[in-house]
Amino acid sequence: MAKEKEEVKVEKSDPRAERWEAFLETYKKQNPDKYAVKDAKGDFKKIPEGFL
Amino acid sequence: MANTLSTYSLRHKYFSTNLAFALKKALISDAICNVDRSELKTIENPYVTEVVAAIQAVAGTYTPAVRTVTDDALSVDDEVVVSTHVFDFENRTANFNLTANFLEDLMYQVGFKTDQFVLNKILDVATGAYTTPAGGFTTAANIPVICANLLSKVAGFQSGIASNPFLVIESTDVVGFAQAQVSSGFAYADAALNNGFMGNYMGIKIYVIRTGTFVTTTLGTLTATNSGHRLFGISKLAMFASPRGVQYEEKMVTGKTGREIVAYGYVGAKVWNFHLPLFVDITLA
Repeated sequence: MAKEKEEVKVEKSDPRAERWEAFLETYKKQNPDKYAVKDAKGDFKKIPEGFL
Repeated sequence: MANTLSTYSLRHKYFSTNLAFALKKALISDAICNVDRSELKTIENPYVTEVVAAIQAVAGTYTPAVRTVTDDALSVDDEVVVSTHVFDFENRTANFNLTANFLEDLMYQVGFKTDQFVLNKILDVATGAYTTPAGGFTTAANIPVICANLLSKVAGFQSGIASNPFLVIESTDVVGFAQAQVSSGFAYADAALNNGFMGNYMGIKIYVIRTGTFVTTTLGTLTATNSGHRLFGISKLAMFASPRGVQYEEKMVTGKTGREIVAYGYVGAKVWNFHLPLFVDITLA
């Protein structure tokens, strides 16, 4: 009987998205008031094109 | 007969004795800020809580207000630095004074980065907020609407409209401005048609920086989220400290001929607490 192979899914992380998350965390600590305003406006939903 | 002239036999002329460098970008923080170049780490400016006078029927009574003093300080926490090395054989055999030319460019680069830091810092702390109509500054019809709204943000203060408001836009925003300038008013439109882009609009001094100067990135100790934003405010109210301005050193280093040259400067920027609402963070829609 053939042994069923288990597929192991490896989630590939996006380094740019990770950098963006870390960047936002730093910003949140540095300027919490402005972070709240911009977050409420949805400024951080999309990673800006210029962000490397 | 074939042309047999060698390049050695031909005359050459250099356009200037200086090497040409990349286009220099405009530096504007000096124009919109109060600049301090003294050798200080911090500039302190404590402020007191605001009190409001009461008006009442004559009674002869009152309640003393509690006033507190809060510390507020600008601290020079960032440095801008750039360097290169000029080998002796490069300097000796070049047609130009490489060291002098490189140094001039390095000092400009420090100035530009300092300028970018100051602009992004002020924009980051500005508590005034305004979102433009769709199209932002690139739509001509939006320009009077945006400028009127910005002026209303600072109107009524002593340090308001009458105190030389400024607006910093990026080069891509000139599109709407230029169109608005040549089509609005009469004498103003004629002046704009004759002379080109006008540095004043509705009493607002307009400064243009290259696209990409307002950034979402880390600039030294500043985490800036300013891409797609522009700055409006009152001139000379923001503070910018650059102890001794841009400095440079030429040094001999071990293992290499010639000189290592380095240009550097220190920078700090601040908008004092009570002035924060006079600086508007403009979000482009």
